[in-house]
Amino acid sequence: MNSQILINYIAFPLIKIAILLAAVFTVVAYIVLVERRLLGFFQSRLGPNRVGPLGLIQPVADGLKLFLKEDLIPTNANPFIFKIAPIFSFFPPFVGFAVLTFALPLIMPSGKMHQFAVADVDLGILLILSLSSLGIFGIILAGWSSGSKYPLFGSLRSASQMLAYEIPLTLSVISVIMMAGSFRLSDIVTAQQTYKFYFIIPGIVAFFVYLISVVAETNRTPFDLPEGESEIIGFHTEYSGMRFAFFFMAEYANVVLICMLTPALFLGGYDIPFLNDLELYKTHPYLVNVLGFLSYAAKSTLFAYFYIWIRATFPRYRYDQLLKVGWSVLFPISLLNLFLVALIKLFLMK
Amino acid sequence: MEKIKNFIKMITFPELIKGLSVTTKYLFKKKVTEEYPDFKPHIPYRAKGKLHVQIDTCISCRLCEKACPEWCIKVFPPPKEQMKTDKRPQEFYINQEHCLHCSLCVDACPTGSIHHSYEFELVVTNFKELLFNKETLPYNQLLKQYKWNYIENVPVRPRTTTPLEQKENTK
Amino acid sequence: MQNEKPSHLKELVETREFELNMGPQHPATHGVYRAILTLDGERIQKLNSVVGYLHRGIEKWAEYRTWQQATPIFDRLDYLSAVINCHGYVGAVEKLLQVEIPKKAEYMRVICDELQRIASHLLWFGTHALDIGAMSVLFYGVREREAIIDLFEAHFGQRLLYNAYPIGGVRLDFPKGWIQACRKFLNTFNSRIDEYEALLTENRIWKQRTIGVGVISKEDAIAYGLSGPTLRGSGVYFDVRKSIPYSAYPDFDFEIPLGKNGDVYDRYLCRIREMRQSVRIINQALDGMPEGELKGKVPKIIRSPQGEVYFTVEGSKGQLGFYIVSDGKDKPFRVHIKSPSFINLQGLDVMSKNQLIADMVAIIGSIDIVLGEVDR
Repeated sequence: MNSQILINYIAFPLIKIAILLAAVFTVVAYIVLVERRLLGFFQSRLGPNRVGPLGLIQPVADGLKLFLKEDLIPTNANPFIFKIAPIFSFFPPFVGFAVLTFALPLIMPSGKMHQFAVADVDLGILLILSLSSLGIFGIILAGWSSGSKYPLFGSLRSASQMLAYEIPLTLSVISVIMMAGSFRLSDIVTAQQTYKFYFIIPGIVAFFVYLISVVAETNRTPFDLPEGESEIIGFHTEYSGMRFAFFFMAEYANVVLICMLTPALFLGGYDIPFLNDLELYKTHPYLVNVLGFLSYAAKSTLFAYFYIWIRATFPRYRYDQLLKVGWSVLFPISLLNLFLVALIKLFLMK
Repeated sequence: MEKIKNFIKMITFPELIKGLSVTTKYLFKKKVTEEYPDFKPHIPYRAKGKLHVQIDTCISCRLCEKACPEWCIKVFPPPKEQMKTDKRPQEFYINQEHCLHCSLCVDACPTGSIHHSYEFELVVTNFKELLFNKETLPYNQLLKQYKWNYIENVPVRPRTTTPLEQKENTK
Repeated sequence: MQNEKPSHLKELVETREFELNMGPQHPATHGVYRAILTLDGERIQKLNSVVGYLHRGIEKWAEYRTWQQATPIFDRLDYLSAVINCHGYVGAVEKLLQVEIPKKAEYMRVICDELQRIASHLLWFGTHALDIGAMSVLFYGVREREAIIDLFEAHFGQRLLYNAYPIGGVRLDFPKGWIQACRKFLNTFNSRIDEYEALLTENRIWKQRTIGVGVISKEDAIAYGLSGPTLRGSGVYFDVRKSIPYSAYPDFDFEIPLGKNGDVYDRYLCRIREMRQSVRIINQALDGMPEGELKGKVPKIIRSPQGEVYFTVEGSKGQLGFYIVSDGKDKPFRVHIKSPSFINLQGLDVMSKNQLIADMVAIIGSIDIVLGEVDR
């Protein structure tokens, strides 16, 4: 009996976590490379292609370089907070991956079902939202403790930006939750499968609001004010070496997390388009698992591409304009949309 | 009417989509990057590279020395008796480190002994490698010579990069 | 009145202005320019310019060189438009010597000047957009600039600092096929500019970032002595090519684009339109290219008459003037350069009043300073 508990509640989750973390780290490392290459292609140049074939070992080289760099702490800085800030920024996105579900449950030969997630908790979406707002602490602490003026600006901007965009983001996610009737991510996907349409159709406005606010939430162009490399250089101006690498990886982990969350909310997650998954699942469960995972990956890649695409094209917003857009455009729209979705839910979705 | 038009423009993002289409267009176009160390760039006929001096044809007139704005050329003419028979300089210094590649010395030279070459890779680890005297003066008989004074029109070739091996074969 | 605090806040919280050092190692100040900003929050109250980090003593340098020897150093003033700088100095010396320059040489000079103006504006276009966050534009601009530099390399032999003109004319004729290559470039250029404008001109983010930012009124612009697109953005009709014609410019038909409000967006539009006008000028010059001599009658060793002379050209940044005093020797007694970037920089304080730091970056980009010219 004890050994059963050991396997089910400790060993098995640990293996899952190890696999997930390894996969996420690889994806995060390579999305940096993919972004650099793609940006190069958008800009009519080649991008990094020197290290290894097609530049595939570039992330290793980058990591090694950052690892070997000297770890500088400015004299004006508060050393304790300065050291601890990157960790605040680094952890939340990686924890967020735990609640993502990647495919329909795996049916073991013994007849037991295993979720394709580390922890498919019933408040999964709330966990991700709260974790993403936790990540801002790292940025604020880093900016404040650096003892320098430019990082301080970066952290101030970041804080107000986070406040302004958290609300439309949450409201647009709430409209999805209303349609699905659950906070659990796998339930949201199953709801889309049973309704036989994706939530992007009734929630098109929510989708746009969501798309804009996640770009702001992850501090990416055109809302990359906390970094704003040509204006204030960023909240991590004083960081070097591995501490900088933590911030860097946190940013991209956030991007990957959002890219994986968006399909689950609006595009049916691991649902395979033009196929009746749930019927097929009864006869060929493994096939549906594999195909579902692939379609999930494809949808996520689409969003990653979108992220890089807009980075290559758009200029940066200004601080006050950004807040104006957040509070006076997105916030009312998302509130109105909530009513709209409520009406749809009440009369059209039975 | 105008207001409706503006409103439609505001919610359909036509100009943003136009911008996105431009970047997408370039995603699939041919890239313009030149992979320099692997592929040598095309060097046009009039390129001004490192200074080459053909010491045999030099007549020690010191016009290049006077023309140089950085005073990086020093010519020591032979003694007067020798000057009647052999005009080659006794000593010739070039400080390539200070050279501006302005071709004023090439303009001034009456015999075309000093001229720019196509050597453009002037990076050295020790700057003394760029100081030349009569013995070490660079001059390559085999290299195609470009003498600024004597040149008539030469065609402009389109900029293409040739693989390194190919370039070496055609030399 | 955004910078005035409510009265109840004044009593509760003590606020004070603080100083921020922008530069000389700041990515958006286009070189080693340093601005000491007095800030209230993120709003700029006062701006102190600190220049001189790139001072090389070019004016003094020229006093120790003969007339012809001094030409290469003036390329290094505004290293992005070396040809125009060279034209300015050479033109001043020619005015002093009263040399007649052959028509063909003048036409060739106009072609090279205008190409250089396009090249300089293209780099400004890219860096200005990069300052505001649009990344790709820089690479597209640089690619077009590369085409121009290739043309220059085929003609002058170098890629950045050409030592373009000798005193009295031009050194060599265009190489064979150069004119066709130039025409080929010009034919594609206008459509390329349309493409790049699609990325920015109508873009709502770009418009929000630039319209109404860094405004300088007509009167202020004249009072501060601004010139070039920075002045024309405020709606002042002044272009050396039209107002004080030099070289072969009176022969050509072109317009001077003017702005209305004097903000960053107007200056941006001015420069974009200027590039199109430059294409027009080059096309006309290529069509009407006369045959003839390349160089006027200039002695090999130049000795100038005593006197002083002032000659201005329209540089890519503004009015570039050379004031030369000669004491009758083979060297200039004094060369003074009226460099447009340095004088345009004076307007920065007015433009950046009550703007945010992010705007400051946009404004510096819109003046298009080159520190080689500011510090000399």
